[in-house]
Amino acid sequence: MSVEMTCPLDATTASGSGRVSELKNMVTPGGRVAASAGFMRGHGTYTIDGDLHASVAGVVEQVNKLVCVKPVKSRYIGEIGDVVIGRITEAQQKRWKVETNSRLDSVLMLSSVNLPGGELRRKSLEDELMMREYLHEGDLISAEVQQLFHDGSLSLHTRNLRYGKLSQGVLVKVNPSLVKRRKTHFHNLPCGASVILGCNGYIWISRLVNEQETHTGGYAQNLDEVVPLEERQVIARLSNCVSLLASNRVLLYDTTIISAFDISLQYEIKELLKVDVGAEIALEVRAKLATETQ
Amino acid sequence: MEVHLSDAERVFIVHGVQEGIRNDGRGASDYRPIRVETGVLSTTLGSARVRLASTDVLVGVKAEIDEIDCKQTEKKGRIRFFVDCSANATPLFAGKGGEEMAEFVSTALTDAYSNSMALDLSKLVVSTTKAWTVFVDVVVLECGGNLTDAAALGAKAALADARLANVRIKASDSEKSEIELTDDAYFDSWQLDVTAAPLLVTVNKIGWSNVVDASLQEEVCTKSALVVGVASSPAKGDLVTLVRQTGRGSLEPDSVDEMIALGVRAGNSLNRELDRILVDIGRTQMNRNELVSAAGFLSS
Amino acid sequence: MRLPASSLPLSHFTQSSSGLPSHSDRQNTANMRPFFIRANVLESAKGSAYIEMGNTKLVCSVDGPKEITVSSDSGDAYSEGILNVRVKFAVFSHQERTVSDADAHRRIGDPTELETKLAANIQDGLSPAVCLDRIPRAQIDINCTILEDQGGVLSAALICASSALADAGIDMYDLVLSSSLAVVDNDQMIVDPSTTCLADKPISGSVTVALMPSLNQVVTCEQSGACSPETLRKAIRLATECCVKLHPLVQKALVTSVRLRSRPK
Repeated sequence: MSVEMTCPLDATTASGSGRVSELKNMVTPGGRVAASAGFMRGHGTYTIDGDLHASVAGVVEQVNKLVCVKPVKSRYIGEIGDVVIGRITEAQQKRWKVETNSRLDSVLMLSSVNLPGGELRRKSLEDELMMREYLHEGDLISAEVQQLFHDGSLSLHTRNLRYGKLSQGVLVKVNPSLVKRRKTHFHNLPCGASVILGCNGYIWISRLVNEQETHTGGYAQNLDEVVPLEERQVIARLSNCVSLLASNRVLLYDTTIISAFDISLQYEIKELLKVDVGAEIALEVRAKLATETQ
Repeated sequence: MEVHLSDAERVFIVHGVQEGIRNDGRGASDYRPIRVETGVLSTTLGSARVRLASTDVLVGVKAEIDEIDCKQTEKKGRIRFFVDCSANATPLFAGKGGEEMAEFVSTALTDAYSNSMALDLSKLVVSTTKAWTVFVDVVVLECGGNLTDAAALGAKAALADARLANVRIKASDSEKSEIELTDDAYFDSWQLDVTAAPLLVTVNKIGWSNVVDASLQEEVCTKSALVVGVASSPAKGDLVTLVRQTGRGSLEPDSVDEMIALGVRAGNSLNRELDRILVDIGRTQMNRNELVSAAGFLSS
Repeated sequence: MRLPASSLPLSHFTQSSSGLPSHSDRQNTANMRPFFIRANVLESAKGSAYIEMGNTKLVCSVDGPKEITVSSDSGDAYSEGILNVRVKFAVFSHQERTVSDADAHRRIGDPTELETKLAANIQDGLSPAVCLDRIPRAQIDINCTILEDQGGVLSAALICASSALADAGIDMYDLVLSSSLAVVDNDQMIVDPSTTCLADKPISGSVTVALMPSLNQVVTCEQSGACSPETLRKAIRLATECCVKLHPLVQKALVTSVRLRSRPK
């Protein structure tokens, strides 16, 4: 039995003033970004009287002549090749609708999945009727963005044995801008759990995946299987670490997660839920990162 | 957006609870960190804000002088609870969902306080025909699971914070009577005695285990839950002031006993912690008043 | 005629005394009020039942399963059927007329606060007992009219509605039986109390338990007032025992109604 209450008397009032000054090129909607002459109008901007203005609050980014404003907080904006985690919301004819934290639901065509057992073959009418058996509402999948439609919705595919239905584990939702795009988003961490960092800000933490199991594409789920206590503890600690890094605005990739996990070992898992403990660990992670990059 | 879970996630949560480790590392009877503030609203007699992980409630206490119901055998004031689940808290509350939740929490609070032990309502009597009616308004700012417990914590803290003015009724010749107030209402005021005011503990049955302070995901996995009202009065010891079963499941008689026992234990811990915090707050009342007057309390 | 606000109705002074045993006879014994139940009382309804527990009298009718008409926010609810419960107190169900000044602003026919709460309680209590997973996308209407309320109305309504459901031939896991009791001073318990026998007693708590007797599962457990955890445990135990006592009576009523129906006219 543990109940802990605090009152804000002793809590230090966090002033963000110091951090704001670090961020250069911050603009708010309506703010002037540049003269449009000589620049190309990118995402998050619009032109008035030959001037480029920001339409979102965020950071100005410039690639050659293209000027964009990247919003600080946004829904997921997909790019081809991104690894994402999504939740099936609807099974339709020959396709599933998938919720991926983007503006519109994404689409997973029946033709762009590997069937159970990793078979690659033409999909038959039976497969169409069996769609709900493979994936039904609420199921989580990992997938890759295959195509972007004009309206901004995404088409996904799972034609790789790494992708497919996800089994037992924990989903942590963070801001998509906190997930660093890297070569691989699948990590088997040395602490004994596997992590999929979806570019859409959905992070999946589960027990270590061994190579044989991956070949089923995750369709064969053993729901009676009980994950042992030690692995659960690792998963719980990892998910708390990911949440605390995200709430303290630390970029998420394998290095930050591993170092947060190592630093957190001095605390009990449930202590990580406390705001001050979280802030301290995030600070240490930042410091460690700074020394390593030097 | 509604909380959806895949079968596998559900199984993972249920197994975890049964193994004694929840998805955030807590044990079955652990609460998430709670933060309590009082005296946050200047337009009320007393107020409190409770944050339980991402669940956030704001409670204000107001009072009006009202006629005493002449059908009552004993003279006493009244206490009424109102809960507002705005769509701000979670999009789930837009429309009917919010109303149902609000209705549930407000009736649970009303019923938990509707006994002679919780508050001495006879102290609210002002004259032979008039008494205070105390209104406790709960606004749910954000809902991250276990709303009922947070609302009850807020209600008790706000009631402890409330100051009622000392009034005298001057009987005049006609039916109308005059209410007299002293000049300095702040210092000529009194506070309610909330030592025996109940807190609510929701005990969730997940798998074969009993769990307090469920997260939103855990609430989805709950088939049946008991809301237990727990008070401890110095005279009578532990008291249960409310039991209410919710959800679409059923329970074995033995597990009802276990759940109530767990609820009482958790309620006692909560009560002790809240008392400690309220004493702490009371001690630093003066400098805190300055702090609170600073703008932007919702941002912290 | 409008009375001044401070007036008292005559009934306040003339407490009606019925011929029921007084509370002194019924302490700590499982001596309940006279119980009567009959299923299939309404000709037109698909299923119906009438119950008397002492002077508490009510009638339930059941219609369905049929296409869902009530709006539900959660799309998930469609994977299972739903119960739609409506409760109506007859205006003469209490000592005073139930239509009070406070309710005057309501439109006629809208449920009062008490009715909504009771309906929600009945719905919660019966949902576990009905095989709702076998009737996806369908609803079952339960209408409950309270003719006279002399205490224990939730218990009576639960038993009556579950009998009406059974009478309508709806798939159920079990019947629902229910019982209430009051804890008065010194932790004494009065089983199945009526409002009249509690009128001059300081009640420290009241408990209502509903049970699926064959499966031994509690579907409703309600307590209000203040009592110690130990007393509460005993009270719940005692109320559970009282529920079980009603089982043969309800079974008999249902069997009788089935026999009457199957007999050629």
